[in-house]
Amino acid sequence: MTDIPVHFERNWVEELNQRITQDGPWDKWELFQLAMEAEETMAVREFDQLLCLKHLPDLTPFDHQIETAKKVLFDMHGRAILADEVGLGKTIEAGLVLKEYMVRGLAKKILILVPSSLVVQWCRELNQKFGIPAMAQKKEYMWKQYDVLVASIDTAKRDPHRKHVLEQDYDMLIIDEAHKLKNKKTKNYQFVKEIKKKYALLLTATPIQNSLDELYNLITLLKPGHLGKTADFQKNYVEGKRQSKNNALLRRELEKVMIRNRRSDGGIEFTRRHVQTVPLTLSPEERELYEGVSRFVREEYQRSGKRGQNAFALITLQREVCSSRDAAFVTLANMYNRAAPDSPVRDGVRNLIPLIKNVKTHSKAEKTVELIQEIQDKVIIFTEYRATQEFLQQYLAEKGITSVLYRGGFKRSKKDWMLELFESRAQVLIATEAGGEGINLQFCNQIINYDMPWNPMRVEQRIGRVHRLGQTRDVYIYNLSTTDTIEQHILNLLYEKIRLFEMVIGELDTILERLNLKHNMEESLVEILLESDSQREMEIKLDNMGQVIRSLREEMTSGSADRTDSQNPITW
Amino acid sequence: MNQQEIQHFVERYLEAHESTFVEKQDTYLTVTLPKEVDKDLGNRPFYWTYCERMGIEPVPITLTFIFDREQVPDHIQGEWVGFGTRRLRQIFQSAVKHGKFVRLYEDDGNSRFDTVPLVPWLGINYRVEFICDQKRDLILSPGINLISGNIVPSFLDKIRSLPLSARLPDYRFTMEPIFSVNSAVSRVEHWIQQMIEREDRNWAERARERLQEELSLLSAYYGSEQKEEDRENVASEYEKRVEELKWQFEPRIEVKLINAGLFYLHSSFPS
Repeated sequence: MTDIPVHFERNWVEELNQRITQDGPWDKWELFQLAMEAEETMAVREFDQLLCLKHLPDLTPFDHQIETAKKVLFDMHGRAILADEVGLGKTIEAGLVLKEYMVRGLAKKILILVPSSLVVQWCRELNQKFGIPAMAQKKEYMWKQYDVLVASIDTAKRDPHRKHVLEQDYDMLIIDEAHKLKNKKTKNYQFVKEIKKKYALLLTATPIQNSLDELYNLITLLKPGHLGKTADFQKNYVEGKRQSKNNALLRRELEKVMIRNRRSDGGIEFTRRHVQTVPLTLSPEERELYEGVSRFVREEYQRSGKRGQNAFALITLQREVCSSRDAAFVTLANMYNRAAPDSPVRDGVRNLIPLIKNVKTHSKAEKTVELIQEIQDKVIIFTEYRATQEFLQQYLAEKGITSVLYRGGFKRSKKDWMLELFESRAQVLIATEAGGEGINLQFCNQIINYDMPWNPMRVEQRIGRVHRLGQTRDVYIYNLSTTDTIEQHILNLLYEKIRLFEMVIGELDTILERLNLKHNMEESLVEILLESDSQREMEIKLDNMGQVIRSLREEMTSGSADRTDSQNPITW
Repeated sequence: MNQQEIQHFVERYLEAHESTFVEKQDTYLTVTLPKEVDKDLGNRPFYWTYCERMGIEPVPITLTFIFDREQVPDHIQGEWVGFGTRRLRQIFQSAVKHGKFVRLYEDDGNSRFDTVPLVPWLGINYRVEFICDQKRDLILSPGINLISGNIVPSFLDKIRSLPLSARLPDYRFTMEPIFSVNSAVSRVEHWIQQMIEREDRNWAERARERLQEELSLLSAYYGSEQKEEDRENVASEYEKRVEELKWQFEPRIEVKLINAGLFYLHSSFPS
């Protein structure tokens, strides 16, 4: 094997000579032997076996995840697009590949670029599930200092960070939500192209959103030349914008660089979702309060000259009163305190106080207790408001129902403790947040949406805590809907019009991305509610929005390149 | 290593450092860490810098390691130490750090009154890494007689059962080596080269084929169709991609030291 370069590490010889001349210090025989045993245990005996599983005592990956990792390591040689449908665990697959390279000593300097909202989650998953000491990039010096960094791509691409990133040689680069790199003219694309890397994983659930060119760009980022030159690619594979030709060939080429596991592949079964709207009627006193608050909201909106920020706070107030008296009270008290002493806000609030005092019943909480008693199993209640959360815990306690709280502000250890209590002791978990937590609640299959977030992604995240790989039972979702309030309107839009709850996981983010709203969904809804002069106008506008979303969805299911059908025959 | 071997390893490691065991049971142990162990396992480098700079007597840490998660009594709070845990990795690293160089003398405790010469040997443990986009390790532990220049494979295994002492026993003297450490190392490296040549070389050929394939795709891609004004940009980008591919695939062999020692043995060794 004379033609393979052999490099001998020699700097230790000097050190040994030094110890000889200085008569020590010498290490202990037992430790010498232990060192050797440790090295023998850690040594890599074979080129092509997955070693990392042995190093991951607390992780039991699914078969498709293990297969994917092996394929990336041994067939694709560490450069691949992981394009599983959402919910199949791309992060786990990437973690397995990364861990394997680290265990083998092939990767040390690692960069993980993700949208900023996912930085913390990635760090936590890598640390907890994989024992990989990943750090979130916060300061400039960290690029050099730390071996495994998770960073927001938008930060990394900007100076002064950009300069540091481009100075490093990365053994491995992982990019989550890589479909954002589809356009090769963007800064993100150019930046990623310039990073020096040995292995690279691009993660995306939607590899082809708009056109085949985008997929081509993604692959070119990973392995330039793999689908030929741009012109050849157009000539050989592209028929129409989202339509391909020579599919068998294209498919074979794609399989060399991309892995896409689908739920329909079998073996990866999700249980069913049962969604039920639970209507409830306000008592006359509650109704009076709701109307009073609604009036206050409208008057304040007009008076404040329809300023955006205020509008948001006002709508929140109206939503809060649908959630609980306590939630509305906290916000009203804050408004009162913040207003100038002679401000009409103070009068407005003062007028509402007797209405609040009048309310003796809690229709929604009563309904919830009924539901919980029927379910007779563990239940997660989601609410948007902390005041509601605390009120509910007390209310449930009075009815003899045990519950624990969970919210974003808790320290990590407290969160873990609460989840443990929920699993072992309490019947109910009352949570104010669901997203970005990576919390594992598969032992529970009942969710009550006490009130609804207006961002559909957050609804999906709530359900996703429970309805994920590893859930063995059907999932039941109860949406509480207070009749003749904005709550009912929104639920009507999300549930009846968009049919949100029936969507396949992953479908929603694609729809929202294509929807191309001027603002995000939540802001658009606030605008509709406040800008409508009549109930009728509001209903029409909401209805329109629902129509647009529905037609987008239809277009996707029939016309997307991402599915098996006559128009678009590429599948993986 | 199975769980029992891990437990045994950790206990030996702690004993080698003369740690104080608060409790030692079948399923767990509680130990007060001595200074050099604390520095490796305590995760408090700043504390140590602080104590040393201020001349403060450090407060030792006491840890509980659980080896059998099923059988451990409920009231025992501690951390599980198993394969893949960060703690075991730390202990491995610490053992490697503190077990680098030894000097030992064979001491059979007999023949007190005859003076006996001891022959110097240099024992070296190597990890040979075969690297392309994948990697395999080969562990070799040759020993070389510093008088005769003879090389004995699996030297470590052969001396493991000998009674070895850190002190030169009475009535023993060490023979002056003929080979210096440097020339002995050169001889051993030559021997390693020969060992390597006996290994399968398919992996390297396959890696080279992959590299050639990738390089040709790359040159086809960057070869033409580029606009005049991008020429320079494209050329440097192409260079970068080529470098990456070589980094990823090019076969190479790295020979690294695990640890090494001087061993003074009876002239009858190795028979």
